Amino acid sequence: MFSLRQASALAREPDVSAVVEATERFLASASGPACFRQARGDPEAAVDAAAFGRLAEVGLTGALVPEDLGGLGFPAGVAVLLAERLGWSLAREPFVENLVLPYALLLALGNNARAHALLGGMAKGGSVVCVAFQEGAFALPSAEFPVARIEKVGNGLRLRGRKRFVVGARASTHSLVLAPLEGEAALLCVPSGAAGVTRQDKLLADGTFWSDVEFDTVVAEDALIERGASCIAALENALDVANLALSGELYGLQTRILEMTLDYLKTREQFGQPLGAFQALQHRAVNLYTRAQIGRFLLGEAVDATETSAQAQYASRCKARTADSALEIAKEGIQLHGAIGFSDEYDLGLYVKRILVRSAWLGGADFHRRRLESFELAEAAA
Amino acid sequence: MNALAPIDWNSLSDSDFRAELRGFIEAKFPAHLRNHPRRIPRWEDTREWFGTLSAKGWIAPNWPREHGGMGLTASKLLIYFEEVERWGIPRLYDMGLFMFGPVLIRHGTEAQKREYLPKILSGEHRWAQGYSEPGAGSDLASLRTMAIPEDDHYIVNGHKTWSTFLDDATHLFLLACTRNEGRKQDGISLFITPLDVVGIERRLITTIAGHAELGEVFLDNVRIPGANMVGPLHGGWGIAKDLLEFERINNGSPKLGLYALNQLQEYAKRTGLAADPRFAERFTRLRLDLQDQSCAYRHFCSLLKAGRTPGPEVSLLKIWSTETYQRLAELFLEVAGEEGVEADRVDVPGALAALRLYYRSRPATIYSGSSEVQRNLLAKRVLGLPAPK
Ligand SMILES: Cc1cc2nc3c(=O)[nH]c(=O)nc-3n(C[C@H](O)[C@H](O)[C@H](O)COP(=O)(O)OP(=O)(O)OC[C@H]3O[C@@H](n4cnc5c(N)ncnc54)[C@H](O)[C@@H]3O)c2cc1C
Repeated sequence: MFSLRQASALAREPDVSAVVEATERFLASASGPACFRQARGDPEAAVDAAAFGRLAEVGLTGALVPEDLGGLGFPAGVAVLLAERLGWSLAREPFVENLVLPYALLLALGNNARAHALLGGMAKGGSVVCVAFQEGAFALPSAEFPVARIEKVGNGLRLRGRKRFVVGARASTHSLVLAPLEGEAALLCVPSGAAGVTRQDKLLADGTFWSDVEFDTVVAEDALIERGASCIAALENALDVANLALSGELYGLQTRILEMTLDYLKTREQFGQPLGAFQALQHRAVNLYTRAQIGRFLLGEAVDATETSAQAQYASRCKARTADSALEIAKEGIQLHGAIGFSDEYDLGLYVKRILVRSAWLGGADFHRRRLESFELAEAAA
Repeated sequence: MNALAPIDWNSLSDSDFRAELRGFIEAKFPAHLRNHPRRIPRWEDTREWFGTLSAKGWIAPNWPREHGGMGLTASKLLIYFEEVERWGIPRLYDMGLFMFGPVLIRHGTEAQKREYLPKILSGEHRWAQGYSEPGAGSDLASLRTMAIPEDDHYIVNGHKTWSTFLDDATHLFLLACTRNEGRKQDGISLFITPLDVVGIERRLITTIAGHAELGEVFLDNVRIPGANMVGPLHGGWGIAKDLLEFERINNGSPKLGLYALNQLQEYAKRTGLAADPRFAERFTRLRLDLQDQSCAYRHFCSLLKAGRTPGPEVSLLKIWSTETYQRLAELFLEVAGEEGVEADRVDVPGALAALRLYYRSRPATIYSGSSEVQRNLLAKRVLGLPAPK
C-alpha cells in the first residue's frame, strides 16, 4: 500500500531492487525499534565501527560512489529508496548524515582528485565523513559565514570557529568543513582526531546525538579540497540530495506509524466494537492515508528526477510535504492510540521522536516552502 | 482548616485582587521552581509552596469559603490562573483540589467532608483517580473492577491504569461494579481508599516525556469500609459524570495555553522572530483563540457558581482549550528548529520549553474524555444528531 516501487521507475530496475532488498534483510536482522530503544541516550552506541563494516557488506557505503572509484555507481535516487527502508525500520544507522550528504558533496565537486581519493576510502568503509557547515539555524550555504575562518599559516591552514548541529560527527574520521579563506568559500577536510578539534555532543529528543564542533586547528595544505563558488554550489546540490533522502526516511517513518495505528484500530475494542468501526475514526485514518500517498507519488517522481535540473525543486517539495505529513501522522498516531500512545513503553513514541528530529534537520517544512516561493519569484522575474 | 477568618476576595476590585496575588506570588514563590521541566513536579518539590498557599487560605480558589476555599467568581478565578501562569508556576498535586474535593462537597456525607476536605487543603492527603482500566478507556462503563459486600466492608478486585499522580498519591477514588445485572451504568459505585492498604500494588508508567507520573493500580482483595462509599450504592456513574464536568471546566480554563503562549512570546521576542510577519500572523491567530476562550470559560464557570450544572455544552470548551494548547506547542517546536529538538536540557529549569510543551500538550486531548468522545457527546446531546443504526 505504501511501497515506492509502484511510484518510481528507478525502484523497479533489477539491480536497484537487489540492493534495496539486501538492505531490508540487513535491517530485519540487525536493526529496528528494539535496537533503537536500547541505544537511546547511549553515547557509545552511535560510534560503533562494526556498524560501518556491516553497512559496507550490504553495499551501503559505496552505493553512490562511481564504479571506477570502487563503488556501485547508483544514481542519487537510490539513496531515497534506501533511506525510506531505514526510516520504516527505525534504523539508527547514520545513513543520510554519513552515507549520503558527504558523498553527494564530494561527487558534486566534479573532477577533483582529492575528493575522489576520499570517496574511494569511503566506499571501502574505512573513512567515515560528516559535513560541518551550519553555525546557527539552517540556511542555505553562502560564502559569508560569520564566525569560522580559514587562514594560511606557515606551511598549513588554520581553521577557527564553531560549527553547530553537525549530524554524524560522532562516527566520523573526518569532517568536511565549509569556511571562508581569503574572502572566498573553501572546503577543508579535517581529521576528527586533530589537535584543536573539540566535539560537544547534544542529546536529541529521539535519543540520538548531533554535535557542536569547535575548531582551532592547523591542517596540511592538501586538506583543502576545493575553493571558490563551486564549494557553495556543490554543497547546495548535496543538501538537496540529503533532503531528498531525509524525505524518504520521513516517509518510511510515517508509513510505519500509520501501519501501527491501522492495526490498533482493527484490534482495540471499545463500546463492544473495534475502534476502526467508528466512522469518525475511519475518516481520520483515510485522511492520514491520503496525505501519505500524496507524498508517495511525489517522492516516486523525485527519485526518478535526481541529478536533473528539477532536483532542487523536488528536494524542497518533498521535504515540505513529507515533514508536514510525518508530523501530522505522528500526532494523530498518538491520539488514535489513546493513553498508550503517550507511554514510553510503547514503540510508537520512538517513531514520533525520530520524526521530530529528522524533520527539524536541514530545514523544516516552512523553510522549504519559503525556498520554493523564492524559486517562483525568480522564475517570474526571468 | 486555615486559621485566618475567611476574606471575601470577590469584594476586591479586579486590579486590587490581581495586585495582591501578584505581590504574594512574586515575594513567596520559590524561584527555582519557576518554569519547571516536569508536567507535574514531585510532591517533595512543590510541598513547600503548597503549604504556603494553604496557610494563606489560597490553595483552593474554586472551593466555597465555608469549606476553606476562596470562593472566587469566574472572573476572579481567571485572574488567579493568569497570575499563576504568568509566573510559570508548575502544577501542584491538585486532583483533590480541582476534582475530588468539589465532588465530595456536593455528594459526600458530613463525616466524609470533615475527614477529607481539610486534609486535601493541607496536602496531607494527595488523591489519584482510579477510573480507567486496560479494557475501559473511552468506554468507561465497561469497567471490570468488582466490589463485593462482606459484613460492613466491600472486597475489591481489579486493575486500574493511567492514574495520574500515582507516584506520590496517598489516596485513590475509584469506580467499581457493585451489581452484575442491568445497564452497566446503573451498577457502578464510587469508593475511596488509602493507597497503603493491604492488597494494593502500584506500578508506575513512564510517559514519552520521560516522567513516571502515571501508573497502574492492582487491587487484590482490598477491604474498603462501607463508610468509604461516596454517594449512593450503584450511584457512582452519575457522580463520576458530574466530576468529569468539573474536570472539563478545569481543562477548559486558559491556563494550559497561557503558559505556552507566554513562553512562545518570550522566545519570539528574544530571537527577533516576532518581527517576521508570517510568524506574527500565526501567533496572533492563536493568541486570539486563547483570549476568546476566556469568555466561554467565564460563562461556564458562572453557571457552576450559580449552582447550575454546566451541561454537555462544556465539551466544546475542553476541545477548544486543549486543541489550542497543542497548536501553540506545535508552533513553538516548529519555529525553534534544531534547538527545539535538543533534549539535553529538557529537564533543566529555564531551558527552552518547546519540546516539553509539545510532549505535555499531547495527552490533553486524550484524558478526561478525548476530543473524539467530546465531539460524539456534542453531536448527540447538544446538536441532537441521530445515532447510527
Ligand atoms: C496523561 C494522562 C493522564 C491520565 N490520567 C488518568 C487518571 O488520573 N485516572 C484515570 O482513571 N485515567 C486517566 N487517564 C486515562 C484516560 O482517561 C484515558 O486515556 C481515556 O479515557 C481514553 O481511553 P484510552 O486511552 O483507553 O483510549 P481508547 O478509549 O482506546 O481510545 C483510543 C482512540 O479512539 C478514540 N475513540 C474511542 N471511542 C471512540 C468513539 N466512540 N468514537 C470515536 N472515537 C473514539 C479515542 O478518542 C482515542 O483517540 C489518563 C490518560 C492520560 C493520557
